[in-house]
Amino acid sequence: MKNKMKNPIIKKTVITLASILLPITSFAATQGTLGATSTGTVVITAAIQDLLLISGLTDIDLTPGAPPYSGTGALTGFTNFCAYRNGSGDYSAQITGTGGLTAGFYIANGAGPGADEIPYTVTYTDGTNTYTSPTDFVSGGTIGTLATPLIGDGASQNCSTGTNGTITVDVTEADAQAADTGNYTGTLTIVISPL
Amino acid sequence: MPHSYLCTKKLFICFCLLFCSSFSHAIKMGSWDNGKVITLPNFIGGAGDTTSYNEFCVSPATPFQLKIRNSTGPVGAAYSLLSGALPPLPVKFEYQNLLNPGYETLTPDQYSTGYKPGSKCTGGPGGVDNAAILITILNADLALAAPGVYTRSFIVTVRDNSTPTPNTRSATLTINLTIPSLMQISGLNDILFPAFDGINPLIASDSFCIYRNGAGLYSVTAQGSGPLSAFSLTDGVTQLPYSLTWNDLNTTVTVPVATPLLNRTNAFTANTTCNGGANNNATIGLSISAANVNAVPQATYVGTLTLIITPQ
Repeated sequence: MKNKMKNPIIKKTVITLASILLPITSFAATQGTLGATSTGTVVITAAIQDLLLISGLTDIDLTPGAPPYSGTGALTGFTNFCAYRNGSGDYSAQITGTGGLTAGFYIANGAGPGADEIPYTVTYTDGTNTYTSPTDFVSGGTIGTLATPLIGDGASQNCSTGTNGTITVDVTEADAQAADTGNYTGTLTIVISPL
Repeated sequence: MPHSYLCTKKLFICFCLLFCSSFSHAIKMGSWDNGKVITLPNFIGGAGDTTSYNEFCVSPATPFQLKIRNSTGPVGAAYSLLSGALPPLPVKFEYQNLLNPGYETLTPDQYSTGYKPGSKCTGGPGGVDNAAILITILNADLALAAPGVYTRSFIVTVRDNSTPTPNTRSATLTINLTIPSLMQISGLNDILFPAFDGINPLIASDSFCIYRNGAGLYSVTAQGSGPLSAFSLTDGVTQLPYSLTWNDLNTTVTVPVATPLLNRTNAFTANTTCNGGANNNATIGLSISAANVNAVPQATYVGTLTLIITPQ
């Protein structure tokens, strides 16, 4: 029996992405003439770019309260978040796991010889659609398409101080029991893009 | 006696001939003999000079010259219309003899060049006028003149080439002109909001010139291109509202939609361009809240703002 792992933690990353502004057609103001009244006109332009913001993420502690893994049961943890995308709210998300000894969704207790790693799965939901690795995506993959977009808040950058999505991380009982003693950490990077 | 007659039975006739002949060379100006009044159309702006072309007839058919002077003030003073204590409004007179065409600009109290034909002025359809005066007031002078009723009388004098003493005739020409309060807005520029930084409202502004042809307040009525003249931009589908302020160098206030904002101050009175923009005296400020920016999809939003300036 391997030494039990201690405190696995997934770190969060906040990403904002904006697109290139559209080209602007030029117009011309018209001046007034001398008279009993005088009328002038001004053309006003505002180019609004794609705006996205993912916020409200918190670190995920798979063994909350700092005690080590008891040796029994699976491990799970989650973070809620707010995904904002101006206008329609539609977006896609690329989810990438780093920090393990193997590329992908792994947490590790070190990096050198003798280090151990634990695989985990990721579930991403926008409250409507739910995607789970490895069935629906792998590390570095993108979820959400034009046909089936992820739905964010289209008006408020902070979801009116609420949240509209959840990321859940799970480790199976077998993987947890097989892990060496140590503090396991890794990083999940979420990049949201406009659709 | 300039003439001698054998007066016998025809003493009366002889006397009549003598009496009549002493008036046979009297010079007249036809309908102008009793004075001429010209009321010019009110100046309401626009690009052209104010002109008035007036014909009359000088009789008899002897060559004559013409001059004009102000009825009051120093002899030889420049032609102008007056309105109380306001600066005089310059006037130009040009004379044309219709039997010997060609305009000549008149110099105050100086006879026109050379003697040109008169005629019998027999009247009838189409007239037999043989002289014309073209009155011109330049648009540049009108635009800068303060509002008021401008008037003046001028003395028009004609003389023939009789010797040793020319015959002369003078008539009074009165010119009236009303200039109302006028305004002009200029120096406007199109407005481009900066890129959104994700946090702060979008802010933009433009400064320009408000001219009035005299001291006084003005009002501004602003109309946007959104529904019901709302201050709003659009990508063709979605409205993006903005707010508007007006700064007249005295106060900055919020501008209502399509409702006159009264009692604006500091209209420029020296020229219509505020010295080419160097003394611009009004600024509009536009703002789009971050919340409104957050709520619209990515696109280019465009709108037109119409500003109507009226003297109070």
